[in-house]
Amino acid sequence: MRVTTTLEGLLGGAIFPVRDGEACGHRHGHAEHEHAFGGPPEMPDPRWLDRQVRMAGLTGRGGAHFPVGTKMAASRAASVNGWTLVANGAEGEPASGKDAALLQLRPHLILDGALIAAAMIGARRVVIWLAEQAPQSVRSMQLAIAERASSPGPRPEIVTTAERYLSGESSAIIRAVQGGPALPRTTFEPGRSWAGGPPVLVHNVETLARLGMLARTGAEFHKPSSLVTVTDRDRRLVVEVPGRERFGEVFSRVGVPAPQAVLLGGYGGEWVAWEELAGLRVDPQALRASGRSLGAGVLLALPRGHCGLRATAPIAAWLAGESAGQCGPCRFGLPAIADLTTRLAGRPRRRDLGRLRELLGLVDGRGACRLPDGAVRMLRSALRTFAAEVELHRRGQCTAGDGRR
Amino acid sequence: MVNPNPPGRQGTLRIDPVACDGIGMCAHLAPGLVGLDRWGFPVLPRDGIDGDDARAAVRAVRGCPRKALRFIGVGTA
Repeated sequence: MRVTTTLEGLLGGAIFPVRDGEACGHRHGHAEHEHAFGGPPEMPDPRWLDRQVRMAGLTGRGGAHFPVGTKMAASRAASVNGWTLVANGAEGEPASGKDAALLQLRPHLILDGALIAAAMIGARRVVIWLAEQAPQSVRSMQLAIAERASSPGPRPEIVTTAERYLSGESSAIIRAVQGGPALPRTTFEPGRSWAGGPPVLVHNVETLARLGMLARTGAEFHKPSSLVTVTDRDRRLVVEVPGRERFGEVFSRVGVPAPQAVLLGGYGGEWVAWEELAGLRVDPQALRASGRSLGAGVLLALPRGHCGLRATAPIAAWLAGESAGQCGPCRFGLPAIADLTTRLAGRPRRRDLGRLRELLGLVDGRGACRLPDGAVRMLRSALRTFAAEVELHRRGQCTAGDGRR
Repeated sequence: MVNPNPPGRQGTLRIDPVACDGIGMCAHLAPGLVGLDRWGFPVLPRDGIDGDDARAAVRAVRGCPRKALRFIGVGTA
């Protein structure tokens, strides 16, 4: 059924807290889903959908913001058969909760999109890729699949993986779906990342939900928005943000006080001073044009009066611990980088800052996946954004005093 | 007549860092082209290479005990 009005968006205007992996909010069952969004979307013509995707400027919401139209067209042009379409719902990042919210509250939007994306490439298998440590998401998707047992197309299968940062990395997923371990591998041929085994196409679950919506409305009635997770201390708040809204407005809407800085895009993203961020629009394309990235929509707040280096050091250590240890520069470089960051956050020695910069240059771009690059980007942004703090620590002082902030 | 010194191919040296164990044969076979970092893993030239460098690169690719290197020729990628 084609809809010729603007729909309210994936989640609408409400705020959805995610606590201990559970998204708090009202779940749309199948009947409610069709009531809210109109009956099942008709299977679109691939070229029509390509056009809508390009006109709407849809980008991949797993974090890379690669143009979805390009990815879909490349998969069709590859002229191979026996595709597996993967809906990637393994967030893997502690600060993020938006995919959990979508999986638990709007599972049918994801299934709509997955089945359409599968039909576009004639996929024989549809896999919903989830973390086994997220039972609420697994249950919601199981229930959703059971609710539409009679729909046409391949029946989606749920495949779970041990949750870690890299379990949502697309080359790791492809390797796992092809029968190997869920660990990243090197891709020599961009656009054929599945090469060496049966073809697999991975889309993030939010990307698929948006694809399903576009198939209903077309680009004409498409309302650009993004799901973001505002993370403030122990709180994770998921909210849908229209593309015209500014970061300052998002924070006041969800009731998080103006922070000192925000880690934009999450652990592999960039620290941005609040004064710089507050006036920018939450628009992936506009951010990209100004050299930033919304990533997977994580907005991790550093409250005022807190020390940016003390907030950064545990993240660097966490990322080092999440390295799969497959690539030498990441395996040896990240722990050394994390140690130096911890020293900078405490009482650094004179040459620590120079050593850290040197190591960042040594690790950047030298892994099979983007984990080391993300860590480097995050740490470079910390040195930039918290330059005054680095100087304070050099003199044996700290914004947060000797407290534990 | 066969050119006794044919021009080297042009291309880029790429590594599969998962396969690489930091043995260092590449730096030995292509000195000045492939360096080693402090942990013994190869640091490759970023730009395209040609001529003698390309010949050295192909030597390094053939000599890698882990088959972790690839020479991706221009136009053959």
